[in-house]
This record gives sequence, C-alpha cells and structure tokens, in this order.
Amino acid sequence: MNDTARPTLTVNWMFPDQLWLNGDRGNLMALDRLGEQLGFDVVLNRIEDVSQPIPADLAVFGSGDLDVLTALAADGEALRSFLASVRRIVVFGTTIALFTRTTARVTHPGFNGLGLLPADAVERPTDGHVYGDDFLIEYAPGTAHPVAAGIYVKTIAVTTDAGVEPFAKVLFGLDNTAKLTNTGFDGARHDKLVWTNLLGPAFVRNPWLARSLVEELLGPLPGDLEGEWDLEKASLDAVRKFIAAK
Amino acid sequence: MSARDAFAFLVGKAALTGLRAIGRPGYHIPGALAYRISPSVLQYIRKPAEVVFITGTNGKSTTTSLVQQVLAASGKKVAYNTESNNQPGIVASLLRYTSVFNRSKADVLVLEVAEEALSKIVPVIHPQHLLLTNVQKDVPQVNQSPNYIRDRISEIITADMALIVNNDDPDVSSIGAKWQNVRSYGIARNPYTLEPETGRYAIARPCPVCSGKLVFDSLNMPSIGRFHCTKCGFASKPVPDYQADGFDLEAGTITIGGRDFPMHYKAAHFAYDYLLAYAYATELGISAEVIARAFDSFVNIQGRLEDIATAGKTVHYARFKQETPDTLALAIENIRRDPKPKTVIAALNIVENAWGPATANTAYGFDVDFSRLADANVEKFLCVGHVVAYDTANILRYAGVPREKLVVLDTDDPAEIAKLLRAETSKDVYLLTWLHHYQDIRKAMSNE
Repeated sequence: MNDTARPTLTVNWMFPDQLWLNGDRGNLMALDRLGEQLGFDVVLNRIEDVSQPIPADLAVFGSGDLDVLTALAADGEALRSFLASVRRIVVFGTTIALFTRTTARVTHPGFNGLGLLPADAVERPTDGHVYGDDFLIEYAPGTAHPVAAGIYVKTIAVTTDAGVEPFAKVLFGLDNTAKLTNTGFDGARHDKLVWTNLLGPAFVRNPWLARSLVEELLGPLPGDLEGEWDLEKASLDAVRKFIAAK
Repeated sequence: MSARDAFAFLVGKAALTGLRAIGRPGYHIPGALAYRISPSVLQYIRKPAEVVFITGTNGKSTTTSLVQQVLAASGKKVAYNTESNNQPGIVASLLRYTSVFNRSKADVLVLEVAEEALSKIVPVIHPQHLLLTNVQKDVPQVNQSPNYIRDRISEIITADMALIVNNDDPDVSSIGAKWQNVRSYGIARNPYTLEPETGRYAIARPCPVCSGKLVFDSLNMPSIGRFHCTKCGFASKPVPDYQADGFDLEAGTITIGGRDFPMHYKAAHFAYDYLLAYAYATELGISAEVIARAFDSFVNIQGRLEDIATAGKTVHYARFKQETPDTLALAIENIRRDPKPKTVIAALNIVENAWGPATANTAYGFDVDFSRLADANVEKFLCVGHVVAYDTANILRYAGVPREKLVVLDTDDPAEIAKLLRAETSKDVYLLTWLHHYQDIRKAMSNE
C-alpha cells in the first residue's frame, strides 16, 4: 500500500482536559497505535470549542464528572450542531449523561442532555457507595474476539427506552441500570452513538474492540495483529481467571 | 453519652494498657475495640481544648507528623493520630492521651482525617484550624472524582474555622475562595519547577469553579502549581500569604521568607508539607527558631522514602498510592532524577482497599506521563503483579519503552519479588509500588 492509498481516520477528541477521569487519553493512543500497525493515518483534533463544526469519522468522549457534564450540557445546542458533522460518536462511562434526555442528581440540580440516546440517567447515592469493579462484557459474539475486559466506575444508573440496542452483554459487573450484577446489558448503540461503560482504557486493554469500531468506519483493514496483542491477550486471560475466583 | 460509651472507653484503655505491658505496638486495636462496642465513644472521650485537622488526598501523614513535632518543640503536649485516619484510628489516638478518669492529658489535638471521614468526625470533634493539603484523583470506585472529594471537605467547613489552604492546588484554592478566615501557602517557581506537558496527548484539567479548561502555567508537583482557568479566570494568587521561595534537595533545605529551614526528606512534594506546618506554627505565634529546630530533628514515619543496601546493590523505594496517579507521577520524577543506569521494578498490583472489591485496575497509569521513564537511563523494566503485570508492561510499551526491555511476571508474592531484587545485576534498582506491598517485600528480603 503506498502513501496515497493510506486511509485516514479523523478523530475529534472531545474536551480532553475536562473528560479525563480514568486514563481516557489512552484510548487516543490506542487509535494511533492501531493506525501504525494497520497502515492508516490518524488525524487527531483536540476539541475544546464546538462553535464551528469540524467533520470527523469519530468523536471520542472520555469519562467525565457530573459537574463537568452539567456545564457542557448547558451549551447543548452548539454541541448537537457540532456532532452533526461526525460519522460516529463513542462515549465512555458516565459521560453518557450528556446524551440522555435527563439526568437526576442527588444533591445538585439535575440537567437535560442532548437527547441523542432515548434514555434517562439517575445519579447513584453518594454516601458509602462503591461505584466500581472489574468489568467483562461480550460485545461481538461469534467473532474471534467476542469479549472485552476492563473496569467500570458507575456513578449513574441509566434506563434506556424499550428497543434501544445494547452495546454488549454483561458477563461480570453491573448493568446499565446498576440493578443487575453479572448479567443484563452494557451501553448502547443508537444511530451513530456507541456507548460503553468499559474503562481501562477500553481501547488499550482491548485493541480488538478498537479495531472493530475503526473497521466499521474505514472498512476491513488487512493485517494480522494477533502476535502484536500478546500482552493484551495475556491480560484478558489473567483477568478472566481473576474474576472467576472472585 | 451512655454507660455503653463509658464501658467502651474503659475496655479500650484496658486493651491499650495490656498491649503496652506485653510490649506490643498496634495502637489501632484498642480503638477498633472501643469503637466496635460503641461508635459514640468518640464523642465520649474528652478532647484537648485546641484542635487542628489536616486533610486532603496526599501529604496528610507527613504534615501531621511535622505539626506534632513543631508543637511539641514549642512546649505543648500534643495528642495526634499515628495509625489510621478514620474513626477507630482517631479513638485509638485519643485513648493514648486520656487518663483512665477520662481527662485529656494533651494541650492540642492534631488529627489527620480522611476526607470521607470528615462528615462523621467534625460533628463530634470541632477543629479551630483546618489545614488542607491537596485534592487529587484518588480511588475512583469510591471517590468518583476530585470534585466529589472537594465537596466532602467543603460541606463540613464553618465560619469559625481558620483555614490554611494550598494556593497551588486548584480544588483546595477554590474551597478557600469561599471563606473569610483563610491563609494560603504556595511555592514560587524554582529550579525544580516543571513545565506542563505539551505533547499530542497532553491533558490539563477542569476548573473547580466553572468546569471549563484550567491550565497550569508551571508545576511544582503533578497537578499542583500556578494555574488559571481559560473560561472564568479563577487563578492561584500571585503571592500567597506563606510562600516558599524555593528548596534545595541536595542541601536539604527549604527557604521561607528568606530563611533556610532544614528539610531532610529530599523529594519535592515534602516541601509543601514543611511549608504547611510552618504556616500553621507561625499562625500560632511559634518562632522561626523553634520551627527550624523541630524540622531539623524531624523523623518521618517509616516507609515514605528510603534506600536499602542489599546484595551489592541499592534498592530505592519509589512509593505511590494505588489509583492516585499524581503520586505515581511523583515517584516517576524521583526515579528520573537519578541519572545512573538502573532497573525499575514496576509493581502496580491489584487494587485493594478497605471499602471495595479487589480490582485489576491500571487505568490511572494512563493519567501519568510514563514516557518520563522511557529516557531515564532505565536498562530494564520488571513488570510484576498478579493479573495486572501485563497491563503494566503495556503502559510502558505505550510510553515508548521497547518490548525487549520489558520482563513480565504475573506474581505479587513478596518472596518471589525479593528474589528478583537480589538477583538483579544492576547496582541501582527502583521498586515502584504501594506502601504495604513494599513493606511485605522488604520483610521477605530480610528473611532471606
């Protein structure tokens, strides 16, 4: 493949200085690495101002604090317009509150999100709560890499409308509603929105997940990376054993 | 106040006396026992008239020890906590400084209090002074985010408390901005000051006031330095009430108000602890001479920073707190400061804490600029840790460390790690891990 034929993945890294809770920049590093390994270029736009649309293949939202999401939601119309020129939106963790219809909070006023996901969120009680644990999900049954591992930090419970397609099945950890353990569903796929509670960072610990999402945008990319993923596969095996013994 | 409280108190005192008689330390046991019998025993035990709390994510223990040392040097009888910083730990500390007739034997109570314990403790023990170190990312499964921790501190403050706040920490500074009776402290730009990251993946942080983008103009520690918000203009004061002009890690001094004070613990983050102790002591009217004398004789609690000579090499302990990325970044800077060739044993380990499940979380490693180690003359990285060793190695690979420099071992067995340490051919080995794991490894080394 010569340089002129190299595909380009344009990524809008959304509010990198504000959506930063769980090592989220690792996801952008993982996309860069995947580009090096599979032969595509990654154009990375740091987005702090949404007043002017910047077309992109992918907009990536890291995990953020509810106070920050409240502030971002206040400028919701500009953000909605900005995202109209993006092909796919990937959202990690609590930041989905920015995309639901409403988020109710415990001691702070609630806020309205963009409504791009037919769902409502409720902040979980904040005293004496444990929000996180290991997380194992099945997102691509029947494929060579059906499972992804990481952690979750679930400070909100999300109820999606009937018919909204989940992103994955929960094998270990809490489901979207924070009511079911080791069963139920994680995240959602709705229109161009992909949401998961998988942190870790998700693309670092599960490069096969990152590849599948990139290939949805760029088409199939030749290249066998199984040998490159030695550490990640060993990590997944170790985590599965660890979780099984919990 | 109930008979149950009195009984709990007496049982705690008896346990303390018994443990002392058999020469056993472990002062937390009487506290845990008394607290278990009656949680309101904390209210029952009489306290000294003067009370100061020290809270924040990092630096509490060292600052508490420093404050205790300075107050003692000024002639006061000081009660303070040496064990845990939650309710049973505080009960344990009070038992030590109270007579069997429940009379306080101390003039001042100096308590390190965990942020999440403040709301339970302040209604029972009301401090006149509240000393705030910093607010950083810390155990997200429990604390969510720095905002959550900041709220836990803010909600217990009352107008009668005198606050001493870190001017270089955005969250702490934002707490101070809401109150009148506040003194601030900070460190001026100095030769150890770091410039903020500027690379492709550089991140700053959200503003604690408006949630906009906050940037650091310079950093004395990770996430601590002179800052301003690009949206609302919230910023550190140009000159705080108490300012260290600088410090010299070689000479072991910190310069405050033009005077050099001893600072024998040679890492940049200790400078804030010394400065906070200085500020509080000065507020109480303690002279610079007394403070200097106390700093000079100060011995920190074990394990904060130490070297061990063993098998022809030096093992340097690089401490960090799990899931507290700024402490990991600090430890990396301390390793980086040594120009000699070295091996680094990175033992991130399964995250364990008292509140939640053990978790294979290494996400916080991506909040840290590990590339600072990639060019720090490290000849080999041994990534050890049950389950997480592979993820640790991956973090280093992302940071630019070649795969051939990475050795991965899926173990957290202290004996195995001690063996590895002894077998290392490098003259300098840095052990990057959390305190309890280090203590276990050190014990295993001494058993060999």
